Amino acid sequence: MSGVKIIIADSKENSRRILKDTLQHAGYQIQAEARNAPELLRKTRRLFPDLVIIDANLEGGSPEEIAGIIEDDNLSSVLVITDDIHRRSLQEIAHLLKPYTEETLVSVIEVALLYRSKVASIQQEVTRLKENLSNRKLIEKAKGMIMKTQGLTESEAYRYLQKQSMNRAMSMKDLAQEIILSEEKQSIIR
Amino acid sequence: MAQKNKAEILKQVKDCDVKFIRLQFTDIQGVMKNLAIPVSQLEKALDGEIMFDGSSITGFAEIDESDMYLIPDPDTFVIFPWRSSNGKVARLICDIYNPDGTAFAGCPRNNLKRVLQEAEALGYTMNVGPEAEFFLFLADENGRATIQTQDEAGYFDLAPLDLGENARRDMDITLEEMGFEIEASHHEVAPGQHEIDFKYGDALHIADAIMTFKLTVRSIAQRHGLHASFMPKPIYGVNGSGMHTHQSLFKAGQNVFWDANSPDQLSDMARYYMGGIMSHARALSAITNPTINSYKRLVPGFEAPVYIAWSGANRSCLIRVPAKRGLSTRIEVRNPDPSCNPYLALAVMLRAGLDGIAKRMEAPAPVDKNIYKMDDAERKAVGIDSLPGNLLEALQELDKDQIIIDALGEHIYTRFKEGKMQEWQDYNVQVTPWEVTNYLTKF
Repeated sequence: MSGVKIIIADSKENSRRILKDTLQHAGYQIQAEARNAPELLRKTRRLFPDLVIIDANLEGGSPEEIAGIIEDDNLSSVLVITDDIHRRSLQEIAHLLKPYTEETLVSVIEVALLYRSKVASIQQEVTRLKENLSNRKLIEKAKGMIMKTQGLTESEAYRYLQKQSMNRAMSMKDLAQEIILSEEKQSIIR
Repeated sequence: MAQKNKAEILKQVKDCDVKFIRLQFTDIQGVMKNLAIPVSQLEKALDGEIMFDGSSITGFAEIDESDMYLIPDPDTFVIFPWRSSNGKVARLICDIYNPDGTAFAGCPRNNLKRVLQEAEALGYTMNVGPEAEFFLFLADENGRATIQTQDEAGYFDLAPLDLGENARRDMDITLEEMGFEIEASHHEVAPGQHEIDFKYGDALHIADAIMTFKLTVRSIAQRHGLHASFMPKPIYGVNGSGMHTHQSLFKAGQNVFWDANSPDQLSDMARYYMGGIMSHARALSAITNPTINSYKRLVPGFEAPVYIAWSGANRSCLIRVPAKRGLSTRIEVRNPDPSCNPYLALAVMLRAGLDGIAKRMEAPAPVDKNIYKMDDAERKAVGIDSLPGNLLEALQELDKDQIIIDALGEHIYTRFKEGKMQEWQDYNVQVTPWEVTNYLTKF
């Protein structure tokens, strides 16, 4: 838990102080405090915290809206501390019901951070796979075009692409894009 | 943009899991109005079957003409790239129709279409490139605007300059995702002031784009804890925000403002068009600069125009003619500000220019001196008039100019005038902090 940077957002000074003491006692680093939602957004975009803890009664925006912005723009993990009244609107957001003990708070924070790092690595994997898939589609399309225009078999066409890619020091994807583009231009002229 | 049809829109909405559709239109004051419908109502909306109560919108319609139809323009379909707490939202810009199926005369978009059709009958299409400026202020604990810019808030906030720059970069990216081609995006003269320019296009498309632009800039600013304001002069003593409007006329694919054989390569048409804008400038200011605050921007010393003249470079003039020629030949009208209703502003400028062409109003010689530095006598000697000094003066000029009134149509003119006179009277009875500061202890 050392080195974990947290921004706390609560409109009441007293609550901020208590939360700050608790977190510092548990070994977390308080990067900044925010008194209202716009201030929280400004500080979060500037400081890249690991976690933002929002009191559900924060002034200047609803907790689900603010948490949504922070999560959508991938700025930080979010934990909302809530009373029973706001709980129903927070079903899709990590939240902790008041009152809580320091032990509960710490374990919820640790779960939130663990979950975030797992999601981040899954997201990376998904991005990589998506890119591979779209590259593969381009290469397949270019290969088909070469088979047709040069009368080659599938494996010959693939070998041709590989060779061209090496000779011209271009990635297969860029080469495929170029082939598709020039072929489309040709077909417009025809 | 490719013509979108109903089936494509319905498919896109389904594929992207859109939850709500906002049916948008702009009222006479230039404020965007929304009617949110769930996706299940979309087909009905695209068939033009959605009704609303027009009398509930200020200055729009009387009680007895309250039933209005919203007819969406399918070409304007866009899914907002940002999520709201209710999931993905898309929008359609609508025209307003009467129950008998005729176009409602009080709808500024219908009115612009009418004026554009009149130009088209003469063979002209109008191309427009706007340059809207705005301020980014810090939002407070109520999420409301302050007039504190993030730049000057340096002592209280963290690395404040980056905040505005980051927000603007996010705006650029979002606008591009929505189909805008961003041509320039930079910090402006005043602290906290920014400008984003996008590619020119035909007048109707650009009027829609200006409304979308303002909505997007405001929405993204909010996500950054900032408030974007298009108020013309939010702070005394620093540059205000304008919306310089580049414009040209095309006929059969040719730019009619360009004449390769004239000494400055400007055609007679360009000169007449400028002549028209200049001769109607005092009246059309009521539309291009429609707020009390607009006239606090139009003062000497802040790169805003005050005098009715034109030039190739001089930024104190009403019209500047950028150096570009050929297809890019255009004039830049510098008085409009972003508080204007773009549908009405483009309609009146086009009509003024066309009147210049019809009556062959020769624009006077260009003025390359800094007019701010000329005195009254010098200006009088070269025949330079000034723009109205306040909203009341502009409204009085509007009353006298039948060409501009026609460009608005009777309905919009009457309602606009009523609303603006009320605004002037409200303002006039206020006791301002300036008065208190200057008079309270003196008398």
